[in-house]
Amino acid sequence: MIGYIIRRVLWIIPVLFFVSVITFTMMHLAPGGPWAREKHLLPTTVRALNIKYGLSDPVPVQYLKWVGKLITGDLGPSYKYSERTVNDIVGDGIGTTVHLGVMAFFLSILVGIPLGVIGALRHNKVPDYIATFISVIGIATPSFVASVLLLVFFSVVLRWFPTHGWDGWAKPGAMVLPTVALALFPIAQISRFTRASMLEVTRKDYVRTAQSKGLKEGTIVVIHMIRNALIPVVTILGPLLAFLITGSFIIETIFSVPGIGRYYVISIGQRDYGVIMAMTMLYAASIAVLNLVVDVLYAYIDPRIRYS
Amino acid sequence: MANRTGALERPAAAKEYSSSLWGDAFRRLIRNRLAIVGGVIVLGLLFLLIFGPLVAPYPYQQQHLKELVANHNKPLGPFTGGFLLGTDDLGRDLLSRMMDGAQISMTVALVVQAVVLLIGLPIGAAAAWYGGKTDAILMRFTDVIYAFPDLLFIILLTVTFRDTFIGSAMDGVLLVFVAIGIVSWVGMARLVRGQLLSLKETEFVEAARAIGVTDFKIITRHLLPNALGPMIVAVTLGIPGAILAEATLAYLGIGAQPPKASWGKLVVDGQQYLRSEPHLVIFPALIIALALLSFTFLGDGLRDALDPKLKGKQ
Repeated sequence: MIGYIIRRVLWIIPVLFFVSVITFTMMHLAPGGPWAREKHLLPTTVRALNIKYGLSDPVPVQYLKWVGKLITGDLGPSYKYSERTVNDIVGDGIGTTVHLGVMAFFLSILVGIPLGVIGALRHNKVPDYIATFISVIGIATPSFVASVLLLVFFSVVLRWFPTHGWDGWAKPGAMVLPTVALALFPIAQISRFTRASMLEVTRKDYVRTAQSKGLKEGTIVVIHMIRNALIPVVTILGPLLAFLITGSFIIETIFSVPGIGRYYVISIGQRDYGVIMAMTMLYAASIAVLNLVVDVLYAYIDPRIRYS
Repeated sequence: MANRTGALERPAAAKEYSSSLWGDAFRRLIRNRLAIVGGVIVLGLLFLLIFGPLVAPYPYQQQHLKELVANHNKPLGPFTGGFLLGTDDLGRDLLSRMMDGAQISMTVALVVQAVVLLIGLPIGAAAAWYGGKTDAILMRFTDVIYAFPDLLFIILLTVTFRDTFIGSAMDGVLLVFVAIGIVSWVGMARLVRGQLLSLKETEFVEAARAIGVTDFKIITRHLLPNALGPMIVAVTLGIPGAILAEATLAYLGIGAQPPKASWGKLVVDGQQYLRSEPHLVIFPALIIALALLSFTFLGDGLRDALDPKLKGKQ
């Protein structure tokens, strides 16, 4: 097991290397550069800027320089926000993005799993239909549509929550709508998965054995069914948490949450090379690490699984 | 076989066991009402893909300025003046625009899944069949692709290849579709590999090898047809994700350019009139939801129908 974990951790390095090479190459292949803005700069100015930031070097040289800086923890300058470094930009927003993602993650687990369990226990009865209906809405509503509808209903019509003004725990009200909007799809996914898994478990021999020896319904459900049914659910939690942390940029834009997500799209349009690389590496690393954590966790909760 | 009386007591079950996999699956599928509803809507959307512009009440880009001015330059509501779903702020018939948008969303569905099969199938098949080093290299390659943040990579791809021949095909939307496909094939490759790994050990494959059938022929004639069921399910269930990705990109302003509009773009455009004219957001949002659900229900139904584990249980 230890050997497996070490091999997996070491494997993350080449993955990140290839991701960075591909992104770096594509980014520099893309027509245009960081200086192409509304007001036209003189060719001499552009040349001077390129030399100042080392953009006139061959791309492989630029890549090596970037890697060299990355190892020392320097993500380089931002070409768009000249007064800030990429480290500043990432440092300012990452906490908020992770905060939002983790809250949505817990909300989706706390709502999704019970929904799935109830659906399976009352299979093809009214509670099942209600649970299925909720998950159907979650799957069929793109996050930007859900956000807009939530905003109109709860902020504009009912005035329960503010439309923007995220400020962490200092202003809990402003956290509600972004979290719910972000959690909607994961809730649906978790509850569908849990329901299918619970239905599968219901047919197992050990459940029938537990029933025939007269165990209480609650004991069977909690000890025998839910514990086993949740094992496959854990496998989707890793990609899901990665999705929540990396996929929140639309929500962040709509609710004006000061995370890093909004730089995601803008940086590519502006060819802000340093920010593009930082975002890609950050997201790729979190996807790789979270998947590893889940795989290890999976072996831990299901002793039948052995990695070699 | 040993228990003949059991078979006699349940003639229906016995009959099912004698029928073919596909006939069986089809019968199970048409018993699943949700899957049928999903399938009918999918057929309707495919019909719009081919005949959309012919059945639309107006050309999608036609501005009905006279009606718009008569309405004080505000978008017309539903059921007014011959516009079933009303018009947008430029006086264009919303229903016609949605029918036209169906072309984009359905093309996404087809192109993305074609790319997914084109890349995922050979990689998964080769990894499973050759095993060893080939398997290791190909699977590590899928790991790398999997680590890319999807939307970031799609946006980067569309920006990088905008000026190439594929970037200009179909007004630039083809590139968006291919980019979505390029980040989506990993699941298919893993599925094909998993399926083929177990099929590889079967006796009929061994027999085929023994009489000297070529690798390519064994894979295409013996292995893939047996893995077809799960692949069809994966393709169907992958379509909602592709439609959703396209809608999200359209929301970010990437993809079809005005006056053409995909469903996602219609939602963005309608957003500014949300309080006074909510129909401009609600109808496009509903059609997105309907399309996503139809493919999901059809895919779920296909999975239940094709899953041999469930055979005889319903």
